[in-house]
Amino acid sequence: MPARSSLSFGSARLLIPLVGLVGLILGLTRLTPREPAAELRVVDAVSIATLDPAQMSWLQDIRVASQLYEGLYVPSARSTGVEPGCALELPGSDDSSLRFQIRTDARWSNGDPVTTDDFIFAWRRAVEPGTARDYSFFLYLIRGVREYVDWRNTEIERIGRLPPNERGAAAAAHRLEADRRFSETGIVREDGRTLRIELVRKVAYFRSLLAGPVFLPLHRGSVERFARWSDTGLLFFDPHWCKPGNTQYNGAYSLADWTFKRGLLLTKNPAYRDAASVAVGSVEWLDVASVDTAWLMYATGRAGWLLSLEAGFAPELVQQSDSPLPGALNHSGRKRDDVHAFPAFGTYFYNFNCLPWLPDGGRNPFADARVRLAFSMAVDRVALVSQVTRRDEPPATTIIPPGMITGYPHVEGAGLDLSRARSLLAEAGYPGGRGFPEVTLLFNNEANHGLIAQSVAAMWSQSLGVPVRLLGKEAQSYREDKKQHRFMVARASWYGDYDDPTTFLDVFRSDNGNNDSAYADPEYDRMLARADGLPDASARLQALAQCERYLFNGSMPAVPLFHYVNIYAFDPKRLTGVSLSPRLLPLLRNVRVSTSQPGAAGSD
Amino acid sequence: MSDRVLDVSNLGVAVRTPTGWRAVVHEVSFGLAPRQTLALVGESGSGKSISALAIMRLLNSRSARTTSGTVELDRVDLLALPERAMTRIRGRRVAMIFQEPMTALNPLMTVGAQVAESAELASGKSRAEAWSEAVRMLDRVGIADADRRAASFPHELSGGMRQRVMIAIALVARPAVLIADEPTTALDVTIQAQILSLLQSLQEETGLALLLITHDFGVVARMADQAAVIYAGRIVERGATDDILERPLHPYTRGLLACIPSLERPAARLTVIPGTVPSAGDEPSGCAFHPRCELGRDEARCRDEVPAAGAFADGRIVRCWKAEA
Amino acid sequence: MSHRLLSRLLQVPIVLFVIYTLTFVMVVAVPGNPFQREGSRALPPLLEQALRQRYGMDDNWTFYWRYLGRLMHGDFGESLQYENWSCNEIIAASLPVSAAIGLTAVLIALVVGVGLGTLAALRRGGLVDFAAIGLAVFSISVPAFVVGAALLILFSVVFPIMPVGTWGGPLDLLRPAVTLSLVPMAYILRLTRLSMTEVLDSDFIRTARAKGLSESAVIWRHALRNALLPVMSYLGPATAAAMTGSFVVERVFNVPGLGIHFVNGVLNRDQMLILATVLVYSTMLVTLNVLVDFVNGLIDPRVNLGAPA
Repeated sequence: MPARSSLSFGSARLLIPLVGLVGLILGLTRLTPREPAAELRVVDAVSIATLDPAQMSWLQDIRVASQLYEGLYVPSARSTGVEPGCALELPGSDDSSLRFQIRTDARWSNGDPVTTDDFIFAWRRAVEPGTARDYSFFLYLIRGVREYVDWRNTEIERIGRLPPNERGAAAAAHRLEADRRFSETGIVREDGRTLRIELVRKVAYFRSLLAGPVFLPLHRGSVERFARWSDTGLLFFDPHWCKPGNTQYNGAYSLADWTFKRGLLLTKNPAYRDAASVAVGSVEWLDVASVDTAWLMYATGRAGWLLSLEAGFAPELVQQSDSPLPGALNHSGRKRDDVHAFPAFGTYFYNFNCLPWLPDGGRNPFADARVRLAFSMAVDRVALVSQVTRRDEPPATTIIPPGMITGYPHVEGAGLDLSRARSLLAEAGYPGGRGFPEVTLLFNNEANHGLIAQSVAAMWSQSLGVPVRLLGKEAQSYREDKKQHRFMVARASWYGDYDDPTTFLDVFRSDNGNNDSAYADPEYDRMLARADGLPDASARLQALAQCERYLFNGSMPAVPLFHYVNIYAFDPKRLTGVSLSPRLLPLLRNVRVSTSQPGAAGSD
Repeated sequence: MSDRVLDVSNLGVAVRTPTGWRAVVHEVSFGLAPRQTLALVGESGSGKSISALAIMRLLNSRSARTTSGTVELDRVDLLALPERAMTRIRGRRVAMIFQEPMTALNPLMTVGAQVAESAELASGKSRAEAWSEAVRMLDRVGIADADRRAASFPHELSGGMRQRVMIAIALVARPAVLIADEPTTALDVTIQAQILSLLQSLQEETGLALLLITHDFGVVARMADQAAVIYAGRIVERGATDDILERPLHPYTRGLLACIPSLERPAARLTVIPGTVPSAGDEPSGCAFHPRCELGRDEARCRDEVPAAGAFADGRIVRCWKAEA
Repeated sequence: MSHRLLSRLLQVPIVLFVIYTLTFVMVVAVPGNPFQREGSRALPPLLEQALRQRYGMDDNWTFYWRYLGRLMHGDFGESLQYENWSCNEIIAASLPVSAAIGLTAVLIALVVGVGLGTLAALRRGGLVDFAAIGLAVFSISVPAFVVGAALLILFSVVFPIMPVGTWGGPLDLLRPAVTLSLVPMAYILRLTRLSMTEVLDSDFIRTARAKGLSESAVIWRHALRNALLPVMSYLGPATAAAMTGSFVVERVFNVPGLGIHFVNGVLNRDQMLILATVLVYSTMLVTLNVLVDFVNGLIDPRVNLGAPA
């Protein structure tokens, strides 16, 4: 009988599982598809959340959607304004009733013409309770839409309360009624190519809204197939409709591939109405989670265009100094010309809690506008920008980034004035900061929010003599606390959604869901409503500027700190046609890649 | 005697203590002839085990080393051999079995495999041949149903059986010398007898020279032709077992024998040797036994000079200034 | 032995059920609204209600049972943050990646750890021992993102021989696997060193030497097997942890693995994804533990003593 010892580790027996293991590993790596070849590689340092235009609110998603679809209006390449997209506005169109005719050459990627029905279908999805999201309220400006949504919600609730066996029939009847009611809203189909939009009132900036993702059209024939009705009458869509191959596109590019957490492949859409002017045939849109790796991908030449440079050493790059790393990073060998910092349509500020009482029951010192004004005047924004954030951000004393909205006058807010700040504080009953309760400064523990908070806290405690406690929290908890007004001062930011001052000023209206300061001022609400309703465009803008002045020289519900700056990284000799518009949308249809050098804008 | 197979001469071993290297075995000499058993007798800490390890060159080089002497196996000095050569001799020409059979076997290998390994090493047999050889050996050492038993693991066997396996491992290679370090100390009395019997019969059969290390004079009486009594690293008396038992010449030997309780004098008070065995390297000056010796306690010579190994008429060697024939 | 194995395997679903319940409680207890994305506009309550209905998350009780039912069918639900992807798709896309890196990392850790640990045990107090311990301390102390970033820069910038952020070929495995292997390698090294030292001092090794085996044969045939028993026990949880991905390593090397979803899932309160990833990890952990026990039983015959016949 041959020797039998327990699991013997004779060399041969050890080798077999080892080889098997290595084989398994190699097999697993093969499960991921190879990366496609593309003319241009673009890197965004955030992951795509969704490609459903009705549901997107993140910038990175909107960036992709703006390549795939074209609305009635499209964002302008040069400013925060808009230009006509796949339709032309007809004469007789005004600020309360807009008429559009869709261009004859506007087609989907399979050749189907873009029709009014495509728009109506897409816009209905945007307000339907089952699919509506953050921006659906834009459509409430259209006559009858809000009533439709309220009616839908009530009915769905009613059907939900019925016993299960009765629901089916009730839901079916309700569906027919819903179709009928929606057709009676202000979204009017005049014919297959003519659309009329009737608003509840005059809205001066409605055209700007039309360039937003929530107003993009969808290929009804394709997306309809993914509709699902629940037994309570709720309308959903199987989210797989967004995957490549399931729908058609009317933008400059089509979605050819989407690998989860790797990236997307966009290919030129030959049916696009202006396809002739689209120079780049294929774009790989990469999804990278780490800001440092994103930079390295650009720096090593794997990607040709980095859409947001957020790495910790970004300020240094911005200062255009020599590359901090050895090796062939700095292609030209001189000061870099490939880091492009430009102003964005957004502001970084601190909200004050304006409620009379704090969540713990104590009196809120910030309920007094003099205190808020004092704190605002004690912040040295120039020092903040030059020593802490260091990206050449414009210091902000008002909320609206200047010079971006055409026709909007320059507004000055209360700036640094220490003596005035101290006297205001004394007036409010806290001379030298004595008796002032500890200020809690809430922020989320990301990026440099902590550093900024430390600096501002130091300014307040040194100049005003008030104690400040920093409260850095994880993102979702921070959001919860803000919503519940569990803070005294909280970090905030706001990017403009459309090309009008109200996109910023509306936030401070007492009934606005995003009014985290809980700032309730009937006088301000009145001013704002009156200004918004003015018929003359320039008088309107002047009146709105008055509102902004009112806020940031007197009542100060928030302390603006600086306006945002975005940084692109690309080599201007290889990539041309890039617009540095404050909307931060890379319009690939205008971009050209120079093929004069090998491995041009991103190599395999 | 020139037909000695193992000849240990002047063996000295030192160990590393916190205070440096200290000699623990001094000038140990003895010899073994084929078919002969020499018992190395002493208490714990006397240096007997370490001497055995030194012979096999199994000392942990970091903590112990041989300082002097020769160990001749068929006239070849084992201490002078390069390690590779010694590896060939170890286990094949001279084998060793140890005190604790419970832990001396590899728990993850079958006993058959462990014996076969020895067989393989000794004669370069094939796997299958070595296995059969192993089974044969296991049978020879008295393990019933050896064929089946060879596939069991050590934890499935009793202490006595494990010691038999150890013997099988040692002897399957047919060595000339077997060193048995207290082979029965950890076993029950009845098993002890069996093992000792086995050793004797194997010795008869193969002409093995046996170096038996023990502290038990009963074992000495039964098994050994020659005995060497060791105290504090020195052999204090060496000679034929019968002679020593009948008429011990060294005070320590006398003391040891007196300590053994006798069945014939049941109610008598037990004799003790006062004092304790000195610890390694910390021996008293002169004769290491002198503080405990009724003869030498107050003797200047015993205190100052290490006794030389004196030869006596019946071939005995005794290290004592006061020993008389 | 199969009786024992069977009873261990039967315990697995019970353990997973308990884990599911505990995780579920924690997931719904944490403050934060899964439907409210960070940084975006406020969500009207009616909208939230509709969303909850759509996902079967009307209330916690319904959610608990409905989701359990889905799990029974192998359906891990939908992701709330990656709205166009189901949890199954996410896991199917990322688990093989993490598994590949994890297995490679464990392999490297095992080979290097056992090798160096053995060498260190053989030459205790010498230069090799010192270097091995030094390596172990270094590996545990230096954070993964430092090592990872250093490897990235070293082999992509200083010596531009490897691309950044790719995934697809076996070469892309190397750097993440090496980075991930450091901590388990350190543990295995120390375990092996300790265990080997003890084993080398044991009686049966003395017997093996007395047989006349060369030192390398003693180590290879007798010492190693015994010394590796504790390493085997460590390997179970270590492999499970490695195979389900490391958030840091995957982030630095831009690998589309599972690790990122553990963290992002929690940060975004993506409840179904959290449950899915936790259950995947738990299943792997529990299964690997049973497997390790089984292999242990194969190697060490003493293990079955006292088991019911």
